[in-house]
Amino acid sequence: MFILSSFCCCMNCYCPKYLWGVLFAVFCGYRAYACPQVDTIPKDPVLLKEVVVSSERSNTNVMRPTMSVEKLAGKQIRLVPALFGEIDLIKVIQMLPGVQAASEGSSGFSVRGGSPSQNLILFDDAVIYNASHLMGFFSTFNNEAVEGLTLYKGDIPAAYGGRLSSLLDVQGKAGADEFGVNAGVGLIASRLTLQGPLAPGRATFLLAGRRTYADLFLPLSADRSLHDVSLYFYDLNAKVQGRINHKNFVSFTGYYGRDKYGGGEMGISFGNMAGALQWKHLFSENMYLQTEWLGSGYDYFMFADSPSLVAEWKAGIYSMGARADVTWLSGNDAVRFGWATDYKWFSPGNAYAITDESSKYPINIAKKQAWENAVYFSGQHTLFERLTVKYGLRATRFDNVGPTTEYLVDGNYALTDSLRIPSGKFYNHYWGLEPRAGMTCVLSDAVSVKASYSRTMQFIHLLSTSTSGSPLEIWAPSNHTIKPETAHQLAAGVFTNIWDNRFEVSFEAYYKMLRHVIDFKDHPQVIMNDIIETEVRMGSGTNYGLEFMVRKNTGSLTGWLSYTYSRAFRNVPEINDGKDYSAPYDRPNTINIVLSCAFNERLTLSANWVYSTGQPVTFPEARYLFGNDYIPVYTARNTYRFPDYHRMDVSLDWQLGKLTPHKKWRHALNFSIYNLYGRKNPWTINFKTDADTNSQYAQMTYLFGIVPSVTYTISFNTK
Amino acid sequence: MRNFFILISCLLLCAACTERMDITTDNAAPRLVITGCITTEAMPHIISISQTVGYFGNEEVKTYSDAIVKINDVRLHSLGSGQYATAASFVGTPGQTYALDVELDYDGNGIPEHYTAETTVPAMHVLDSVSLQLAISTTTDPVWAIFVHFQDQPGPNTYGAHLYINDMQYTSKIQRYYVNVFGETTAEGQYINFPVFSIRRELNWDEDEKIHLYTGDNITFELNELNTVYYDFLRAAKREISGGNPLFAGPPANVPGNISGGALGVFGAYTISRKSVILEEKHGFPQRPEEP
Repeated sequence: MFILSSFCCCMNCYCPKYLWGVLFAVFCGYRAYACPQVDTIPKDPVLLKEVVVSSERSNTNVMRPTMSVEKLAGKQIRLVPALFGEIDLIKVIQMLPGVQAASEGSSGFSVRGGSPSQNLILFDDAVIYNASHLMGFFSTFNNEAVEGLTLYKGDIPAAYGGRLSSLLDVQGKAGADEFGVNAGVGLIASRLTLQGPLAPGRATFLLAGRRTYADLFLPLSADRSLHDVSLYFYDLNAKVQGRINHKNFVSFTGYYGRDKYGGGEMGISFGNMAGALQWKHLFSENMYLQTEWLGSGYDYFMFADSPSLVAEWKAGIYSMGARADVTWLSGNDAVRFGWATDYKWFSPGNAYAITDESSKYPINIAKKQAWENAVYFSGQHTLFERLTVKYGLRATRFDNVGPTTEYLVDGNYALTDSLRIPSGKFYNHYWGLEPRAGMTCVLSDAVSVKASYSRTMQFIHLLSTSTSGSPLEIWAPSNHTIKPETAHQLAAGVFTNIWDNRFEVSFEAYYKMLRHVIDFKDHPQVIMNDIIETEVRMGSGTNYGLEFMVRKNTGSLTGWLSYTYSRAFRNVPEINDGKDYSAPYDRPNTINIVLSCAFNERLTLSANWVYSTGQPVTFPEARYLFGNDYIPVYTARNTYRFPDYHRMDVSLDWQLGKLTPHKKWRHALNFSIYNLYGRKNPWTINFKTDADTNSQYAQMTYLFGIVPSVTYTISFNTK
Repeated sequence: MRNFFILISCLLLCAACTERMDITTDNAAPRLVITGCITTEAMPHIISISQTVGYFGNEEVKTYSDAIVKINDVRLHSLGSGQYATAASFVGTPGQTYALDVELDYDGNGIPEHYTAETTVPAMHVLDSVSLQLAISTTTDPVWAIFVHFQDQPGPNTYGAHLYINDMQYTSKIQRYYVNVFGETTAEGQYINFPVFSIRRELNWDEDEKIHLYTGDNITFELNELNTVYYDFLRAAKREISGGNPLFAGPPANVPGNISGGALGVFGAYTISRKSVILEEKHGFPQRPEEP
């Protein structure tokens, strides 16, 4: 006999005498109880797991008509062990298949053999030009202000363009309906997040900030010269989201971050700013318009102020843009079209040095402007129930705009002429068509095959010879000499879910052909050089590879295991005697294991292990004597490799205090160890002369030994 | 600008460690190396002939002392150890081009090959004076900038500079030699009044050894106007010898030269103009300790 009761604190049941048995009572919040007679059932409060209402099916990996896409939520990112305990989404995506760190500790990343400058990084659709803090050890993204991310390694939606390799779309976190505070104190940085309602039920806000504070202890140093030294970064995030009525929604996202290092006599400051104002209008349940006004910038400033010399140097890139995007949905079909515009100001360098009143030495590198406009159209249609096709086309026009000075070079990159372009004159332009195509064939609920093709174009180029990312990076537009970079990418894959959708398995292969890919002549001068056209060299490239991934998103044990085979080659006629050479990001074998095990509600243990073939490098094979120095001789570019890279990190997340559902205060400790077994991964290898034997030897510099850290987080919610 | 790079590198490297490691590379086939320069100072000008050796190991550099070496058809005499010298009265003239011809049977087939190069001595920049100006003021260890004063001429700013301390060449290694990095658009035709070297009580000589400066020491500044070939060679050599910092350095590459026939090296030219300044007590340098 079963009696169903709900939400009442007492039950009456009558058991006929002729029935044998016991009363077995089960009720939410009470211990299961077998009672031979009427009794009071003892209480046993249990914490119900959250009910997840998901917009995605459990076999989304199979059914989704997109490929080469990785998604991570903020709370997944939070569980991955981090350097100095600072959770960093870019360090997490560097562990996804097909993605690699540009170098040890760097926030730069390479996608499918492309350079870090070929990644479009958006924060709520506003461009982040240099996503690094503190030389790349930390990224610009404060995880407290991030809802999640989507990384497109290929199959980039036609709505987005301007970079060859990937789109990293970071979604800002919106504030909650109840007021809340979250504070974290870490080894090198602290952060504070405030969120809550602005107008109950209609608008929310979120403010998040963080700052490193290693320099706060410098005044305690015995070395007085360190007392005035600054050594910190900070960033601020704000997001306001509101509903005007049931058809109109607005939001604003703002970001400002800055690094400052230096003392009284010299220093450097650099950072990003980004803002996005979005208005979404629903025409109907199936159709909406999203309009955005976007602004971004990255700049750096350096100064020297000594009794005999005052000098300043600043450079940057700024852009303002807008986009209007219409989406129409009908069942599994979708059509999207729109227009995007972006005006960019390039300030490659503006500097001066003054040694006395009559001696001023200005360096004004010609500023440049460019206007990029694009219209796009894309569609997705399901045919024959199990076959979905996608198509898209993006048409871009890129204009160079005066005032500037344009330098012309001949076929050997020798300067032939310079043109002074007046203000407002459109003096050079490029057109570009970027088609997209894809298909998904669902063989069963557990297996699908997918294929895609895309052509991407890049009209702005990073002028940097750095292999690890540098704050002194400047961008330059395509012009008469520097052509737009283009890439064709073909990809195909098999996607399957096994064991009742507990495991997602994917296998993808890709092939990319690059044209007008940028490199530099030997020993280029890219900083403080007005005539960059003589330093640039252009060629072609080929990237190909395989990616395999097993991922588990449910249960107490979550994470992924991936293996990537990736090759990347370049061919530039003026480099390496015109022979193919390995691109800096050619890493044939990469393995990533990222696991997180929740033992209970309090304790979660996470660990990751990364392995990759060492980066290609050029080593000398001979030397000769010149004066008192040995000059190295090389035979070919990037024919050697660093030792293989590998590292393991672990972290333990410990929720403290009571974990009742309505508890207002919560606090937690996170212990983490970066590089658990102390692997010495080379950051750079230089060569020295042994004074005793007069012979050469190699010396590696490595950045991190074992780095333990602890972070304390406390949060408060009014609900 | 260099100071900024140093600052940033220091920030990075504060946590970094270095360690000697074993690397083996293939040994490239040996190549002939010819180096030498023409200057505007009367002295024996030396041309050196040697060949490359494997990068690692301590193989002796092989030299060639049996070549016929000529500059503008005038034969140089061999000093041994692969060195050939002009007459002591030889002096380069600004604007004049000099042709080097080396005749040597390097490939050992019994027929000598000719290795040639041309170089033009650039226009002279004459130093008006040098002075010491305070750069960083601390009472314990002030840093003084050596300011140079001269009139820049229009054209490429291919300057270099040597520093001598009491007639000892401090910049005997390329890493310490100054190579101007500012391009033609900077200070074009201006009167230059700019710091080039900085000095303090202790200067690094190498990793272990330091040079101490005292009151009364004679500091001589030598301004070189390098011809383009030699400027490119020195700038690249400085980069290759200094090693790479991944933040700023590009990939390593061969140092460019101008010797024909497949030989490495350079036949360069530069002008010389010198001025001196004496360190005084007011500059904060200590008195030289008496010899024991």
